[in-house]
Amino acid sequence: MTLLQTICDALALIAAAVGVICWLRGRQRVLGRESGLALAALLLLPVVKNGLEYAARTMAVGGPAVAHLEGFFPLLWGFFFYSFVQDIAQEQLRQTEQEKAVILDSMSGVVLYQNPRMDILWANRAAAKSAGVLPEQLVGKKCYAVWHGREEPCESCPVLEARQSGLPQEAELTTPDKTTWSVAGYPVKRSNGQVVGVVEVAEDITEKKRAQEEHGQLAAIVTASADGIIGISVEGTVRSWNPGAEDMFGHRADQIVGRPIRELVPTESRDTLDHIVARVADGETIQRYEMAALARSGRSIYVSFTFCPIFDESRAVNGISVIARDVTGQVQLRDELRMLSLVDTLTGLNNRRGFFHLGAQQLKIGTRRHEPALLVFADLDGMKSINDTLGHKEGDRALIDAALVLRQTFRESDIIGRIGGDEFAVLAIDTGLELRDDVLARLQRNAANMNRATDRPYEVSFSVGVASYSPGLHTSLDELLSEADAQMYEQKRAKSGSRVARGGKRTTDGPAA
Amino acid sequence: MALEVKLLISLLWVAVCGFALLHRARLRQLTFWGLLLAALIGFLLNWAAVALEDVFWTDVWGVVEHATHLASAALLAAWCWAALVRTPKHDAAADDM
Repeated sequence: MTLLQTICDALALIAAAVGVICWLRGRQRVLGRESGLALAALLLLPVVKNGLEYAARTMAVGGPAVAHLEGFFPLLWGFFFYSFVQDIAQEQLRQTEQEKAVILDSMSGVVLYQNPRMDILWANRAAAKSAGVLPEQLVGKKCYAVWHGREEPCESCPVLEARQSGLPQEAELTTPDKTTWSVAGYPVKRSNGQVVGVVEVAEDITEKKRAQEEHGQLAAIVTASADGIIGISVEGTVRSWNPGAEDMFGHRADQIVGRPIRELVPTESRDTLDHIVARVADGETIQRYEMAALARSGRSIYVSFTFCPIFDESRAVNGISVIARDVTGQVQLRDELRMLSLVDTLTGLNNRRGFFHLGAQQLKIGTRRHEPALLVFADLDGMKSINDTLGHKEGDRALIDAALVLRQTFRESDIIGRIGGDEFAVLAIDTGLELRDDVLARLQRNAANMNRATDRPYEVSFSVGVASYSPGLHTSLDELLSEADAQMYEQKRAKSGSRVARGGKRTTDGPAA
Repeated sequence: MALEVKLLISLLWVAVCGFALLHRARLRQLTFWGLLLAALIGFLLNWAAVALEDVFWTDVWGVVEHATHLASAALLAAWCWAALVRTPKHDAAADDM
């Protein structure tokens, strides 16, 4: 044997010793018992063989039979590989079992594995929790005994049917505690088709069914409601649209869903609606906000909108519910009532309330703008006489003619009112005292024209008082009216009381408008 | 060594290699599988040297035999250290992933 071979053997001996030491320290970590022993033998056998060869050469012990130890090397490698493959397979099986157990235990539904006699062989944690016991305590029991308190399987039991049919089965079952379960049975079969067990998966759907019923009720209410019930996103895009909204606006759901709700209102109201949507998206509720809207036909309608934010679980607004009520009829009635309360039905002028309401507002505007105003108080002359001699019908006609004269005399923007039986008042806006004579002359001229154009036994004429509005001097319309009223009576007194008949006609005397 | 014995041992080696090839997917899961494979190849070369030693170049194959034996022993020792001592089991599993 050469020196080189001896050195190699010595180093191999050291390497084998190191390997054995490492094996002794960590053999439990990766390898099973058999594969570990095979590895140790693989480390030691070459050393033993070399030792024996060395003894045979130097001490003539052993002989050629030592060479036959070579045959153990492939055997040891084979055994090592074989046992290692077994280790891996067992580890994989163990891991699979563990993963399966973790997956099934993490499921919220009940999972049971039962043999064909319906004995429970395995139960997950949810099953044990539902039954109020430990999982291992369910083993060997029958599910119908544990959950239903029965001695026989339930009617239409999906586990029993799965076992009998060899096909997956599903059913809804209710336990005595009024819990509703969705139960499914999945047969486990051998390759020859024989059913060797059934996996039962059951889920508590009591809350789900209740929610479905409530949803159904709400859906029926929404569908039957005459009000428009609209769901929109926080950006204002229509998401849902009930038949009530369809009737109100004329759009079908498929025509409006996905479009912005601002399209339902006229252009001038869209910014307002956007602002409202933004406020509701911030969590505010806006109730009964009336605004004009547009039906699909182009017809204008008045709608009372109620906007409510819809919150998600984290209390963030994720949508807006809009309830729209058609109040067109109410608005029209309200406008009509307002008009009736402010307008004199005989002459069509403002009545006393209307005159004071509009006049007071106009004076405030005039004060802010430093605009002058002229208040003309006009009393229709001879009204009592007309009523007494010609009747109230003719008296009404005189009042209507007087109103017409006033309308012809003053601008459309001036406020004209009949504030008493035969008393009229006009607030001429942006008109100074310097125009007083012009106004009175125009009034007299128009009255004269009226008298010439009609064939009546009397003439329309007015006694007039005029007061000029000075923001610093007058504090109210009443004050201004009192001043004009006093002037009017002065003029009236200045007129002679006599009436000169003119061809059966009566007329007032003295200066009159 | 008789020719029949050599043939038998060679057949055993072929069987071992076939088994390793058949189950290579699982064997690859063994941590530091490359070291172990190299050690196996070392043993195969060792056997080749033993078989050829009696045919020709006796001295040369004798040196090769002992050198491959040294290499195989070193590789096995290295695997033992790497897989059994240095790498805990959880790390080995992580390596596999």
